[in-house]
Amino acid sequence: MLAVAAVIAMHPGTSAAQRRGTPRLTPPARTPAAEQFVEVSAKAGIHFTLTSGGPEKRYIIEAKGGGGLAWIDYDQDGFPDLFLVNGSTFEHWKRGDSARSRLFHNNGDGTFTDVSANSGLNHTGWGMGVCAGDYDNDGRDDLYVTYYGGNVLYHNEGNGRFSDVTAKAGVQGHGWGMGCAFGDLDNDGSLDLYVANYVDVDIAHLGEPGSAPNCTYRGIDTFCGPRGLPGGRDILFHNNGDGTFADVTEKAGIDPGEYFGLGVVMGDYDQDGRLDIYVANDSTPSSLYHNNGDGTFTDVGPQAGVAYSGEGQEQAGMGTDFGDYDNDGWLDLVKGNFSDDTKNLYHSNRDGTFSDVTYAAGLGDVGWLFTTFGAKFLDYDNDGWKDILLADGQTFPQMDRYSTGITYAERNLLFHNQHDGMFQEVGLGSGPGLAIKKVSRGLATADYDNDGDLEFMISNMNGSPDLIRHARKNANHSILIKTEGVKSNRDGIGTKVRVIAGGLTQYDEVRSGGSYLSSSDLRLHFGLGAAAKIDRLELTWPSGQKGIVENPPVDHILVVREGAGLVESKPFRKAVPMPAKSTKAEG
Amino acid sequence: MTSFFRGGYHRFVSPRRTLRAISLAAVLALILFPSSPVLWAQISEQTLVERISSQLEAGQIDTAIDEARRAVEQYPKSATLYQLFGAALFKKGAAGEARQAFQRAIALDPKVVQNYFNLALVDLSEKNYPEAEKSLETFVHLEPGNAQAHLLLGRAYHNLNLTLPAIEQFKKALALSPQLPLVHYHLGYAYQSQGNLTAALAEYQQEMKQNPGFPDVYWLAGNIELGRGNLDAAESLFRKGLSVKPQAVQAEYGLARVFVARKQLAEAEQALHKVIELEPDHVEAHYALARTYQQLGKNEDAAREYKIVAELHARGKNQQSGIAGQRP
Repeated sequence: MLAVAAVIAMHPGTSAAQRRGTPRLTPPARTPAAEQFVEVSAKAGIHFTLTSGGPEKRYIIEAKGGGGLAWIDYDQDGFPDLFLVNGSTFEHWKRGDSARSRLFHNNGDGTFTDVSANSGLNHTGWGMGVCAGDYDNDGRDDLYVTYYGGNVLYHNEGNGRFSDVTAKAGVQGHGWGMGCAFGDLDNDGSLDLYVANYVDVDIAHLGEPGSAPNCTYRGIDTFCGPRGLPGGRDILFHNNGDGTFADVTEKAGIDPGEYFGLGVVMGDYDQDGRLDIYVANDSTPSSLYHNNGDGTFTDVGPQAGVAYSGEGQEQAGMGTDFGDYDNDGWLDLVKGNFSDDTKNLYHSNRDGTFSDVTYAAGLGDVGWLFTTFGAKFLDYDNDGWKDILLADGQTFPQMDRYSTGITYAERNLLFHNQHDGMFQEVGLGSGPGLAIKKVSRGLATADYDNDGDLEFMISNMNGSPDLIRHARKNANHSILIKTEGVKSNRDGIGTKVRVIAGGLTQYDEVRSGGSYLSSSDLRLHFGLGAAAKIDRLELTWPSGQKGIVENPPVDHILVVREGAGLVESKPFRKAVPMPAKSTKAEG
Repeated sequence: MTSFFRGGYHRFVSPRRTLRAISLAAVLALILFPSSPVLWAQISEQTLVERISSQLEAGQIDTAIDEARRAVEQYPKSATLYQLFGAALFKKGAAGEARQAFQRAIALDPKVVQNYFNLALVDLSEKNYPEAEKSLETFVHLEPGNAQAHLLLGRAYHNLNLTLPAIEQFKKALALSPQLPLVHYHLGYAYQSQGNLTAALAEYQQEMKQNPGFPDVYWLAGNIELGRGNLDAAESLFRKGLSVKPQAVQAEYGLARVFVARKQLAEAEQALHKVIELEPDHVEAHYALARTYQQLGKNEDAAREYKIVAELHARGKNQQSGIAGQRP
């Protein structure tokens, strides 16, 4: 009677045992507090509103749907362009006149021009996510866009236009597509495609808020699901190498549990030379598909320690990313989750398993109330250690009616890597660009002005996106590496790159997709701290071929070709001045 | 767990009043015809109040209910008798009837603040937090110096997703009565639900000092220490929790996790088995056991435990959207 229920809601991480003694790079030239970010989307000419249902979010598709964005250098001018996926409303979706997605051309001067009108990117619907990759190895990156009710593959024709080749390629899929990623899973030189499917429902017949136990949160009436709704089965498409794909989901053993798939990222987590797949699933165990090398995959998520929280609880996984944050040469994982829960930082134990070090690394407390969708490793201050950026925003606007500390619009979280396995959240001290409170979803990074530091784009529900850039470039050095496969896939997706400089070895892999429904610039970015010299680059291509580039220059964009080594080297541009005023759209 | 209400409850629900002198006639009647309903009706209201109060204090709940039921029939305008009737019913576990009795008492005399408190207790017992909130807000408006009421109002707020106002109420309770049991616990839990583990830990430690017999704070604090990698501190807290409440599942589980963190796998295995013995569906324990088996190379056992984890999670489907936090 009136018992004080002994209930615990906190699930602190495992232990500090993972605080490994990692080597220290030369101290960064600037402290993280010195990094200041500003939001420049309007000034840069990016005028876009992400449409996603009504303000009340009465149905799940209005809250979870949409927000995908991709950095893609579609015209190969060396400057990453921007593609923003648009959603819809029930009215427009039923009428078939949903808002269009948009392609913005990077003018190379810090501004963008909306070139959607003549791009051929014409499909409309309730758009969700996007991934970029050169699926036909013609040297031009293509786009795959996920939708509720059938996805679209756009072939880059090379003249600024794309053509819809979905039917010919056989990649429409089914159900409710969410995150996607290109990767050469069988190392045959052609990019395969993974598509996460969310729930298998008819959105015209969704339950009303509060109408069932799965239509509440904290006792508040909310949209229904995903729990209580049937899951959608993810799809794996094998690239036949002739412009077509085959659905190999069943044969490959993908997603038999039909979990609620959202974010997808590929990486060779166990260093066996084959790309594996990690899928952040909502309210179900997340999946780590180990590539068996014979066309089949085994979900080793539980055994690897990345299916659940550190304590074995299912979580509401959203966006995810692979990255080696402690520079030990092995990919770690970050995953966004719902509020009233931690986000996950899984540290690789270097044996194919991971430990949840969320609390031990300092990510536990501060992220508790936030709902994280976009999740990225990035070295924002070029100190040689990957930091973590989380794009946040609740799904339930109803939360604003309650004084819980949880709000619908949230700021994004920036965790600075302390070089000792620990992170410090520095968002509030990092300028107005990180003080913005919106309902964020997609997140992707690129050095769009080619000045050597990373910018990031964040999509926001029913609002304009945020293009966040540094107010000033710091003194640290860095490089960008563009890989060109020859025997391997043309983008070099899956290529393992080691950068040895300043007494530190950094590791990353070229990847498409990741974060939340988004795709970052395919060029790899490495901060170098104060190191003014790179000892060498070591590359392992998906074909197995290895390459070494000795003493490449710092502060350059390096193009490395399989079998040929460094074929192009361009110095970074000087930081582009802040755009003074908005630019007009083309059409 | 229920110590907050045990013992302390009755003094709130049965305010004794000075009895007026019982008339000689009534005394005689009682002596001569103790069981006569006609003569029973002649007993004054004050006598009945005293008798029912005594019965409640003596734990004669059924007798008190019977007597109070007859008493309110006899004195239907007596707020005090309805108050006692409600108290007796509530002690019996008849929350619905108790609520009606307290509501009647309030209708008869809205100035008796105690009944708002009593009504709130009934509503809290049934997790009817919106109604409890109303009653307690009225109570603290009329009697702002009552620390217990601020504590209960804080609990109601917390369960209504009003965490920040809840924290304010807990602080008010502490300001009024720094030694009041369980305030630090609830304040700590509210901080914990905000992700503020440092503040939560400090409150739990305060609760331990003031209320060492309350077991929950030990494992709550232990979990925080464990998450921070302070394994010795965590172990000490879990063991203290077990000394207060032997075989408390959460403390046993916490201890097992300490062994896991220390890579004392044999001890961890044993401790996790104990947790599962106490609570067979403890999904976290099964998961930890699976991970432990895996590290011990017992892959078949690990696979079995992972399967159990998946099955236990599958049972929890169709519950809530997202991952909802839980509050005490």
